[in-house]
Amino acid sequence: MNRVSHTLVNSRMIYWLECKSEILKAVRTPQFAVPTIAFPIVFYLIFGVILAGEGGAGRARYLLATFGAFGVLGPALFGFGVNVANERNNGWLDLKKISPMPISAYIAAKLFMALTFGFIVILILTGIALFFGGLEISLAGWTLMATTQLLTAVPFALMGMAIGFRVSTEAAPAIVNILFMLMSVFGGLWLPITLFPEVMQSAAWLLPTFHSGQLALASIGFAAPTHVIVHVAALTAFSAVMAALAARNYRNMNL
Amino acid sequence: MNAPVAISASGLHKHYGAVHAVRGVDLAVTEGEFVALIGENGAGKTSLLSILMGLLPASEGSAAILGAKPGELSVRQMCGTMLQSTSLPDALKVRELVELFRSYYPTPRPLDDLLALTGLTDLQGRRYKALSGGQQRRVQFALALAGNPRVLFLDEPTVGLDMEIRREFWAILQTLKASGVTIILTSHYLDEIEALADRLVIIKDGRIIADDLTGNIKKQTVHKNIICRTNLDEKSIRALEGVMSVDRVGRLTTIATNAENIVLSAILSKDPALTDLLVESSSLEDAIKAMMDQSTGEPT
Repeated sequence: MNRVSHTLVNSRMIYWLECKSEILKAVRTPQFAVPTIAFPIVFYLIFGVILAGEGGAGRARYLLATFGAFGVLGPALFGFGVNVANERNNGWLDLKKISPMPISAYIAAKLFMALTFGFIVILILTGIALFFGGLEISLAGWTLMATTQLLTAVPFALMGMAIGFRVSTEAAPAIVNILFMLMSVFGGLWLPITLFPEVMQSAAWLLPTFHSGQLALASIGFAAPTHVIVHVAALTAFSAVMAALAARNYRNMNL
Repeated sequence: MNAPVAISASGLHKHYGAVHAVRGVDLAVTEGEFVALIGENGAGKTSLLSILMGLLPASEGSAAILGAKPGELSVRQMCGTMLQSTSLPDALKVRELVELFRSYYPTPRPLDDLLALTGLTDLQGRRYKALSGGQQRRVQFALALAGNPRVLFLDEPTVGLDMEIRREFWAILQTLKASGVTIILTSHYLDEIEALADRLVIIKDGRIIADDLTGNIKKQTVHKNIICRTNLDEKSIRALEGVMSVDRVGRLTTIATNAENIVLSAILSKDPALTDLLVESSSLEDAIKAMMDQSTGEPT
């Protein structure tokens, strides 16, 4: 009898059930689902529509880009940061690590959930911009914007993972909330970065959210002063650092 | 005939910084054996189990499960585990959790069979959050059995459960054992261990201080306990011939002895008013306690 080689399983089934479980968990947890969706929408209504004033359509369009990036940031950071910390500390992740589940399925399912929620936010924001903000956009233009925004979830998912594989259940929500708020505001996702003093505009370059916002803006036609490659490079570098941290913290989690 | 080895460990050590939790453990478990790991909290049981499950790397030494390294996919596919303290996702339903875990394994136990075996058929539509502690433990047990494991690790599986549920659980374990599953159990309930385990491995300070069949370990301290209510004081009882130890709570006195006839006639003659007399064989608990007390935990 061959005792060493493992038996192949239907891994598509594992991925499908993991994704389904993550979505069900998120939908059935109002503390997660409601703020994740309501937050960006309420802020967008306030800043992008109600307070938009004369600059109406331009403002709505500009902030659709940055609030879309904000809407993707939430589920990525919280879904990984807070949920992984929880599942690591209550033993669920240990049980899964001991089981034959591939860890990639665990991560993919969480990313799938974050992207689904991000996509829902983008859809609703787009609806608001179309009906109340006088937005005009082609399907191709919108697809480019939404895809760009969704792709910017990846660096923050990795950041969430680095946090979730390390910090305690109690500390995780506080840490993630603070990062979420500070990075959103100072990265220019709530208000156009150009409204900030020059020092803060320069400092924003250090924040990954600034780069994700700039990419979203470029994708919807706001010519960026800097070439998009710079922002892509910055986010790629940030992702690499976070991936390395997450991998290290994962390896150390049971020590 | 050599039965195949399910679990083997040699020279296992585990350090956590300055803490030396596992200090040279050698262990061989044959397929189909039911082994209980016994030890006080902090004795190194959980560390040892974590190494065998592949959750922790050993600092030194080696271990194998069914011929392969712990943590390898082939091993994980053949093992089932119940961890000591786990919370499953609150929002998922029993059936969803069980189906999820079944999908991980090449030859899972049929869903209906698994639910019926663990008494979850009627609870399958309930969310995990809505279950009682005992029911939640049953779901965790179902996840451990989802893959039809050949080796089952159970870390304090029945802690906090009432007697009736524990007995149901024992019955399932006995069925599994009869079908050839190797079972490693840790438990604080010695009645449970005595009822189930073929073999006991006693751990103290990171070392195995005893490893023998349950019956042999029990026999190692063959003495009788004389229990009675008496006016005799502890000191005068202790002075009697054949008395090993005396434990007194109020007038209720427990005398451990290896010469019960002599001690009985002595105390009866000294205290005619003695009541509630009972003579018992020493229990597994007595035997384990004696072994733990004797051992200094140092290598012999």
